Amino acid sequence: MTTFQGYHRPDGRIGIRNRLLVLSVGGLTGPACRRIAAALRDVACVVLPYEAGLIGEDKAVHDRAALGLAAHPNIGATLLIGDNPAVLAALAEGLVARKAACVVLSMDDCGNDTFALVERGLRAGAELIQTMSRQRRATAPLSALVVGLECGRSDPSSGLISNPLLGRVADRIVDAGGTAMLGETTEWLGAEHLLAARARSPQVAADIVAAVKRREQAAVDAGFDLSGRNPTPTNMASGLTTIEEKSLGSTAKSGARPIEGVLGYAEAPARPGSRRWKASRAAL
Amino acid sequence: MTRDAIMLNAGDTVATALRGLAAGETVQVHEGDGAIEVVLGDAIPFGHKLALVPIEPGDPVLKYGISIGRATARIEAGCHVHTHNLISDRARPVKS
Repeated sequence: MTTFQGYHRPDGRIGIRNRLLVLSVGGLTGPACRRIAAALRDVACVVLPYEAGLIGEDKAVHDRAALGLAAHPNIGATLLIGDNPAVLAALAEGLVARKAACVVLSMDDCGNDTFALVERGLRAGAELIQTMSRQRRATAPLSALVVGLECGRSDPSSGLISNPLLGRVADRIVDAGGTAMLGETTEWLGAEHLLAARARSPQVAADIVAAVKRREQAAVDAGFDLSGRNPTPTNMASGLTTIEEKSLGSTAKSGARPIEGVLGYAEAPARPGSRRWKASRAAL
Repeated sequence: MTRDAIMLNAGDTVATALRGLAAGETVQVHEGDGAIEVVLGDAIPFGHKLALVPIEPGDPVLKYGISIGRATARIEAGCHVHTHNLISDRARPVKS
């Protein structure tokens, strides 16, 4: 397989899905966004829990995540909803720069009436879906495919069969010039030397080891034993004993190709090649 | 051919049970062209590990050719290896 069918976005990236994103920029408009999303078909709804009061690096990460979600190639258009018009306007400007379609609705636009917000959001969302429905998939090279590698509820068979199989798939995508990303840094503990040995440069190797050390140190500093939390009691009942054992199975998802770099939370890969996405499970 | 247990890398000190194994069973585990034969000292549930060789306290336990932690007690060949006799080397809190 050297091609796939995807949605060719104006920024040149290619998605495999064509969903409307209802994005609540902050927690205040979360319930309204969930109501809007529940009433529309094939919608992704993301409620960012924080916005007001974020400063510095927290704000930068939040903004990067919001922009990354709304400009995601699997998203055909975004309904941007929030309570701060200036924040929404800045985000919309970023989306316009990336040629991503969006409609902005703020609490202020609706007289601070959440029922009015839901009604207007429903209409705007339905119109965006109608527009998006004209888009069609077209052939794209495998080199344009970007995948995130994720498993769940590990048992010993994960490391025997499913994760090594996913690793073979990742290798094929990378061999074709595509991109694969691995997250869940905690589940690199005990396997990080294998990942570091595949790093494209000494700096990347150091970044991989540092990312794992930070997670390990956080657990040690918090004074808790990782055992029983990761691996979880379910993992352990099925036969996994230690985080090292779980990690060795988990990282098999990443295949065997060179690792190009380590990404921060909500950072997008720039060049093709196998990548590790340093992010918590919650971010995936 | 059905297999009782799988050894993932030559030189591993444990194998993973591919079916529920009963205590007293003789189990063959393939290693390269040959096989290791062990008599089970414990029942080994599906997916759980059995020792292929005697493991001393403090010894690394090898699976995938890599240490997955250390033995906390002597483990006889054919016995169950799990949380009661294997502990992680990582993210250990400092005991005060």
